[in-house]
Amino acid sequence: MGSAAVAILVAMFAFCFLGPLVYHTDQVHVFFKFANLSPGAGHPLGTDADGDDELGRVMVGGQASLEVGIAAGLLAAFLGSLWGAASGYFGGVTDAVMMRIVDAGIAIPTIVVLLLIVTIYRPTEPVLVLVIAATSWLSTARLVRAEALALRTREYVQMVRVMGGASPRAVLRHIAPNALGTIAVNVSFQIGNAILILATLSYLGLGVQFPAVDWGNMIFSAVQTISSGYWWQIVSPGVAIMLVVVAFTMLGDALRDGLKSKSRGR
Amino acid sequence: MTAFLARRMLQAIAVVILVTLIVFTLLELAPGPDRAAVVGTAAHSQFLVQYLSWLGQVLHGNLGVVSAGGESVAALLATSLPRTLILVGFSTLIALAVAIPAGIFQAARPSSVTGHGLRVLTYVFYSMPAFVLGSVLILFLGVGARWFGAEGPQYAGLGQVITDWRDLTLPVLTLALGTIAIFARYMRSAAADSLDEEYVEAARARGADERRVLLRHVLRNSLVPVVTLLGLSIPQILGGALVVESLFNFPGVGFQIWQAAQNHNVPVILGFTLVFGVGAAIGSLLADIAYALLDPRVRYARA
Amino acid sequence: MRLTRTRGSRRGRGVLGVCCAVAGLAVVVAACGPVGSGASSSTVGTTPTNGGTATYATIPGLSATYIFPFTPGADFSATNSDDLQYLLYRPLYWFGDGTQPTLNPQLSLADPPTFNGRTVTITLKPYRWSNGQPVTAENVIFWINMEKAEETAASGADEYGGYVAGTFPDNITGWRAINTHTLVMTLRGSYGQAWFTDNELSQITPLPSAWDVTASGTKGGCERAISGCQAVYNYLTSASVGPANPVKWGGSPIWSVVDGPWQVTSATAQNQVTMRYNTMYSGPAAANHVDTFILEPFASEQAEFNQLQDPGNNPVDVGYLPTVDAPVPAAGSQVGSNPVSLTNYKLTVIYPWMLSYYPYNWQNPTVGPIFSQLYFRQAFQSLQDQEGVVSGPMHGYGKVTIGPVTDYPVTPYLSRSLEMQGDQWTLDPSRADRLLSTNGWHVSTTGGTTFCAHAGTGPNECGAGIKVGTKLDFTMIYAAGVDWMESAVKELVSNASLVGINITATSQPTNTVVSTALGGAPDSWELAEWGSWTYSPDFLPTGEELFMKSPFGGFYNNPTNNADIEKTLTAQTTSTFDQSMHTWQVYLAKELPVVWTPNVATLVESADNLVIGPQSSTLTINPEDWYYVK
Repeated sequence: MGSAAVAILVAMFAFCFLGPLVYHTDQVHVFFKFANLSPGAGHPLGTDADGDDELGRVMVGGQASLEVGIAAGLLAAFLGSLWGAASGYFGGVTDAVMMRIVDAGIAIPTIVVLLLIVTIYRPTEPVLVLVIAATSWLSTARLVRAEALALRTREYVQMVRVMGGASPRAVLRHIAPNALGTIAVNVSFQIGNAILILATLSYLGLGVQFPAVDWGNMIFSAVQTISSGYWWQIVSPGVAIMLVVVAFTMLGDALRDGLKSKSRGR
Repeated sequence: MTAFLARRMLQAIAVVILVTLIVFTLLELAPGPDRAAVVGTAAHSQFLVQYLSWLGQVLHGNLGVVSAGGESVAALLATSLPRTLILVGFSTLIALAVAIPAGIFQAARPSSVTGHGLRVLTYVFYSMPAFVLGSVLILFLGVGARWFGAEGPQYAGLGQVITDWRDLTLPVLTLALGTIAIFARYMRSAAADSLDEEYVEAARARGADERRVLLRHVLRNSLVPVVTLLGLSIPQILGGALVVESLFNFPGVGFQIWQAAQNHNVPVILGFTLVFGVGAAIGSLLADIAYALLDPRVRYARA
Repeated sequence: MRLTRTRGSRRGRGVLGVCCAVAGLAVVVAACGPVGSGASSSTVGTTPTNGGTATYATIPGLSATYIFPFTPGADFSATNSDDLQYLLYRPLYWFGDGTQPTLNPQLSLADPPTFNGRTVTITLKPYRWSNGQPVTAENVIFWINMEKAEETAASGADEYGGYVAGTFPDNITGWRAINTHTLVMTLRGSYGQAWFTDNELSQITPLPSAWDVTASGTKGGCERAISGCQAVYNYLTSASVGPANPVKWGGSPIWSVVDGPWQVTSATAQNQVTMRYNTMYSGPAAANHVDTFILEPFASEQAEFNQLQDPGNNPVDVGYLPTVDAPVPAAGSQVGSNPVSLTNYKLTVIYPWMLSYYPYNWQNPTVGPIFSQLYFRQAFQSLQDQEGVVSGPMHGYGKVTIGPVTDYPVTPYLSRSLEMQGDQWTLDPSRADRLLSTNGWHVSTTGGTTFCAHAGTGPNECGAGIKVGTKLDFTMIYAAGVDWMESAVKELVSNASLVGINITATSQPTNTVVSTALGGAPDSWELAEWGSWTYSPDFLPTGEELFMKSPFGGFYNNPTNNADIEKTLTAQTTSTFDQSMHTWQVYLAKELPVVWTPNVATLVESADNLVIGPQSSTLTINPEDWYYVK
């Protein structure tokens, strides 16, 4: 399962980042006269409502989706891991306060936070990465904290404490690496999730702004004209987003299963 | 147990207060109407003064008004919350009914054709944004086949809303399919874990019927995490309801909060987020209590 | 979606809107004929039947929220006035006569006003309220007193959304009833008859004496004196707005007193409003007509369209076709066919009485000097592909704008010479290139950004306030969620890049765009697209609310233009008015004070067996003239 996921991901990366080098299309300019052409000669996957070639657009759109998704997923996992590890390591009042902040963050509907932040800042790719990470790190924090709670009773962490090792260093040196397996699994899920959140933001009209494009706003435009029969406009980016999200989720599952059998072997 | 409960309640209250503080801060940053006017304090008063004033009003049961001289946020909430509960309630029940057996089956028979099929379906629904899924359902089952209505029930009475299955089906189905995917993945992993536990091995070694093992041991032991899952999924399910409600024109809490966020209607955003926050805090509180009741080790371990 | 001005801005009273699928239609007695009607598939009879229910889809996201016609800015919407209040409480003067946005004497409560110097005389027709009392001059004075009481400099707030400081009622010094059906007003200055009738008297809705109360059963004093109005206003306002209140609209002793053809029987907290025909109605109605009329709210046009395609449940009898879902009409025809998924509806097209444009921010300290250059505005308008937007994302349902007076529908206000000329600034990037190159700019056509190479105010120089090296790099905010607007902005950005103009466009919620452009700091925006200005309740397309240093026109300010506008406001006869309108618009069309964009049509869908007649460009509706056939 893991290798299938990796194969899909490699293929999709090549498609999105190397594809445009081979298959040249103009995805910046608008040509109304070529709008909504069905798949055929010259446009293997047809064109969209602005007359842009759909195949080329899925490639270019995938770049934004993958870039934002991976960056946001990594950032979320990193922030969440630090937070969770620190919380679990220090315990006591610090832990209580840090975890209540996480609880509160989770209790606020993500969409509300996203809507508010995106109306303050123009949604460029870096802003979207920050925004999505800012709402996704919470679950990682919970997970890693649980891991850290278990780890802090282990002898070597106890030793560091007894010997008066500097606390932040202990978190980084001992707890974080030992929770790495859990974190790796989480990164994979976070990336898949981040790509879906980005798509939902596009549904609310708050995703990447043109001339940038991502799969989410391609699907959104297509959904608006869903009854006009331009099926290729929804199928092309829809299949692409599903392939990538499924692959990242499968990868996470495979990593977790691997991790489990390893710990069982111990 | 009492001490555990008390501590957990205090935590829940702290979470709700934090929720309001965070939302208040975000609103402070966002462009829009003056918050001082909204919370009824003097213009340009300090952030904290505004916040405390708003909190004070909330404690007196006053969530503010939707627009100047207009209806109260509480009234809007009272009409929209039951609708969301209907939508979320039905779809969660369906999701549980489908996801539990589907998850256990996937764990028990991972390499069977059905197991693979279920797994693929789970992945597909998991990776499909709700607005795409909903639109496709509308296109084929609503507008195409005309089996179901293309928008949610519009009746004023809740009784009529519940009995209007023709219009209620698609929104419930859209939310349920997404939720099934989340739950089933979780159930599969929980069931796989308990399949590995020693007592299951022992039961198998005793030569117990596999079906019996699954029902007696695996199902029962995987149900404990389901309680936690339910409690913790509340924010996620409500978030999903937001997209589904706006897609199906169903005037519930999610629909109202989406409109309010677009129009920067500060009292509505604050009031509704507060309710979401309280809902999520209560959900996780109940999950913890139920978990403690089902598994006594927890309350001692955490004490 | 059509929006009101947002809170916080107090100027101007036209309804602003992103007009995507504004639904509204009317049967008007002396109609000029329908704009057109699509073929319908099923066969229906022609025999009118009496009674029945018509369900009407209101504009997405803009439901009926406010029943009191003295409506504050926040609730001042097309839905509240055209679809709800006007049906219950007739305005003194009704505008919309076929496709013409002009005074409709048949549907007005009074005969056309007569002017004598600074005195205006209004004679009411014998209408009655549903409680049997006549509609009197006192009822008109009730409204004037209310507006005088509420809209004072001291109150500062926005109690009536149609109020503009300095105009009505500030510009009348006296008003009194001569007898029960005659009223005389004294004007502060010598205003033009056309302007005072179409933009000032057009706001008034007579209020019944039954409303002159401060609590249930407690008589107030607003009909007699301004001082008696505040308490009455407070009471009526608190009884109007909902959802706590709409459920109380039905059968309310206040709101059930109507002089219009409809009466609310029930309303829900979700803003679904049910009305029944008022048998006491004194005005014209069809011999056979529906007797129940329901306003059905929708969150989005997609949700509404889904409902239209699903006639199985909650049928919508009159709704709208989203532009994105409309099949493009065949070349040369005004109205195309319905989508195949839509059966049993007929399609009709309204071009609303509105002006579509988006403003330059003339006050912006950075880019204002660039916008001030006529050659730049000519170059920029040359990048605007109005024809392409009409045939592309508007699916053929749009009309190109050529000046400050809409050329569709054609009105007497429109300059014939301008109309004959047509669009002087069709898409032409090479013209834009030429205009910039010959005015001191180094135009980059290869991906770089065009910059000023020769500063100064002489020929072949960029102009005042523009330094060497200044780049043509702009930001633009536009309303989210309108498909054709998104495409039009995309195309503009694409076209501008051909001559090295870089536009960073950001979509935002419509309210945010409008409040930023109208109320933001001078440097907070550069270009802002929200859609259109709808002429209601100010029905004359005079420019005083848009082009006299108004935020709606990006603070464009030009003494020649201001003087031209003043002449239109004081023109005493119809011919001098039309003449001064022509002079003004010919000048302003050349000035390009804002960027002209196409007007988009409203695509109305009505059930095959329901006759709703021709449409009014003012978007008012008359369901008392609708009838089913079999």
